[in-house]
Amino acid sequence: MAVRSMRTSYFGKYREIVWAVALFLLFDLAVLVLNFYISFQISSDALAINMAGRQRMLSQRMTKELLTAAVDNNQGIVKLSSLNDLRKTAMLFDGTLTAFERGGTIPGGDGSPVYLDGLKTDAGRALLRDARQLWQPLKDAIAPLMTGDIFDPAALSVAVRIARESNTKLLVLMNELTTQLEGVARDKADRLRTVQTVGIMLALLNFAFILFKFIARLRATDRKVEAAQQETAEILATVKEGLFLLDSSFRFGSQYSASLARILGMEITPGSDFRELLRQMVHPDMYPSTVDYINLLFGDRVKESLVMELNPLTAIEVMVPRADGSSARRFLTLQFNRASQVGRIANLLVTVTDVTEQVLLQRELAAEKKKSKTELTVLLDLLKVEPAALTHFLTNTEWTLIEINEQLRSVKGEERDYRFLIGSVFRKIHAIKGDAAALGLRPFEDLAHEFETLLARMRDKGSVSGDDLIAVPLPLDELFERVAIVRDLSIRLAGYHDAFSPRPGSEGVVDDLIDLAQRIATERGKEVQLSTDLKMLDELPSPVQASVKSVIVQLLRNAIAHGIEAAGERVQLEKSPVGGIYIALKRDEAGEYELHLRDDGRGLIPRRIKESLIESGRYNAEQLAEYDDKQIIMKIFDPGFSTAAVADRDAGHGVGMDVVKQKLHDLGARLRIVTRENRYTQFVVRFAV
Amino acid sequence: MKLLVVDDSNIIRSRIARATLQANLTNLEIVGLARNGDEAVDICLRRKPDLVTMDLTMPGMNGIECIDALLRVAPDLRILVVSALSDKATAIEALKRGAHGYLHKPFTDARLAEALVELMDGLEERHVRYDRR
Repeated sequence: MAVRSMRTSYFGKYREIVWAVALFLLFDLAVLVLNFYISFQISSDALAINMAGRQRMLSQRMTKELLTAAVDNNQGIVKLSSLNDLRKTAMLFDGTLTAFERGGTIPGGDGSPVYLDGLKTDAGRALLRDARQLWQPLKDAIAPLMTGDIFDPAALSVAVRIARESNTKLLVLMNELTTQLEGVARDKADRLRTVQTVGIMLALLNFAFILFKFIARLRATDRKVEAAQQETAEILATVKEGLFLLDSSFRFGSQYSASLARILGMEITPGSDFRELLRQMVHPDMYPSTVDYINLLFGDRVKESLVMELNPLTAIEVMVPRADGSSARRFLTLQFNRASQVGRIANLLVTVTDVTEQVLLQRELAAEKKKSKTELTVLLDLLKVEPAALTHFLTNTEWTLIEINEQLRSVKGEERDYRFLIGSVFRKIHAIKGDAAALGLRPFEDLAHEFETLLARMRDKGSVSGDDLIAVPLPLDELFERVAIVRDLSIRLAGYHDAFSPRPGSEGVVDDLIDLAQRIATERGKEVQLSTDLKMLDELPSPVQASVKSVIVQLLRNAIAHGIEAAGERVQLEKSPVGGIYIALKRDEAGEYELHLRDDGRGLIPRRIKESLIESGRYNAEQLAEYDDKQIIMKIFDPGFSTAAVADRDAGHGVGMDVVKQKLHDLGARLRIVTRENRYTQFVVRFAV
Repeated sequence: MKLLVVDDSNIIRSRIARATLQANLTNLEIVGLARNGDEAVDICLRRKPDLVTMDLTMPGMNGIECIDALLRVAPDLRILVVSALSDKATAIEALKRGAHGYLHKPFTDARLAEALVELMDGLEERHVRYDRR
């Protein structure tokens, strides 16, 4: 149905031209038919002229033969051959005249029979009547000479007489007949010329019309094609997707969008085999199915919309080469749509889309979902854990993770150091895992277990290089993040604990701090004595309390790690071998809180901080020359700052101070530091609630 | 138009049947619910359906074998694969064997109705040819 209507419209489109060509052919045919007809008539006329001329000649020959016979007769000679000639001439003349009158077959100029049409014109017939009247007496007179074997001289005399009388008239009549026939033939020739001229003129006009129409249509079509091509080119130049046509032999079409090369990271060659590209894009196991899928679309059995979901080229991961020679990981989708021509699937339109952002977003979303699920699991676990134990676990875990981080940053580049580091980190993570398991904190336990597995693989390897350690920060970050999540959740849960359970006293916090201080001091071969006055902590709202505790933990850890000297050094400085740390929270008359943390260690020494800053490459001496001591001391809060004592692999210096800075910012607190070399350092944090 | 549902899951068979009835598709009548390939071939011969929804993972005769068996007795049958299979290669193989379309489980009622309408497209003009076994 569709095909027929297309043909109809095709005919409709070219109807004018079809009619013009038909007319042209009709004119040509008409001219040809007329030409044939008139030519045939002219040929017939030429015969008639020829025969009329022969009649003229025969009339004279007959007279001559009669006169010759008469002369012979007078001399007493009878020539039968002459009489025979006369007979033939007379018969030929009579037969021809009869043929002119009624039409008939007569001997032609060469003796062969020819058909002569009877004359139909009035003037011609009048001439023939006159000729018949003149000829009949002569014919009758000659008749006795033509029949019988006896020659009658009297009959010859009569014939000669009549011939003499009618000879000239007959000649004139035959002459006129010839002239008239020539006139008729001339008229017909003129008519033929006119017909030919008119016919050819009409045909030429028609041809000109066709030419004009055809050129006009061609130009219009050309304009449309050019416009369409221009539009196509513009679309292909601007469309963001990679577009190209694929034929059933898997060859690229000649046109494709400008974005295609950018998306694929390579130029494609029209006519080249798409399967070459396909082999690079899909896994070898999936390649045959992918080719099958495309082949199915070239067939008309499967429904295009019902197989879209099966497209194997959906969000496929590819390494796309970049201009600088490197390659980038991208996710591409190649969508195939049938492009039909006259009901036949000739090509597939392939749309190549870079879906990297969507894929990454989806993965992020999935990760978020997983995280939410983890949070929920953690939340449920947290409900079962005693708050003080949880706080203790989180503080210890965070501290351990900070330590590991510092170890990673400060490790030296020898295999022995790497092995030592891996062993040390392994033990610490294993401890976290054990603690988490004891408390029933499954997400922590799982993460620690994964980390432990990674470390075990490294530990069991034949040789360890710095490259192996590249994998360590990732699980470390995950654990850090998990600690942050749990801390946040525990703060949120604190409200529930406040509502449903007895409020945890500051005693619990103090106990945790004492445990922590003892653990850190023991690990570093130091001794500390912690004295606290933290009852005010109980007054603080939970979120503030958590931040303050976090600040205390970090400052306490720094005080032990960096401030408090080893027992031997303290003795040399004439100090007590046991370092003293005092932590107190007070409230002034204005209602503001002041957190004090004071240690009697070596103090913050601007000179040494300066040296560390220069050694770290962050600053040069000239830059630091512009800072005063106070400003230099504040540099310890820069993220990643570490002092010269970093060489000690078990102690990360400066660690956590950026955390303190963040917490102070959260509290909206002001910080004051008072310090004296080899005597003390005191942090005073002032904040309002 | 007659529909046969082939799925080993009672839930899915009922679901497809219910969704088809609720979609109120003109001229579509469910002529059988088959639990496996053998039942499908048996119903196919007795009730002569025009359309089939086909699960791929079934005990005994699997979906692809079932497609082969059904098309042997009814070469013009239109088959919609309805599967939760994440293995696209198997589903593509089912299409190669003669299925006409694929619908991923889980599906919405609307999507199933659309797929059946698409599958029925052009089927009114002819009758499914059945060969005698």
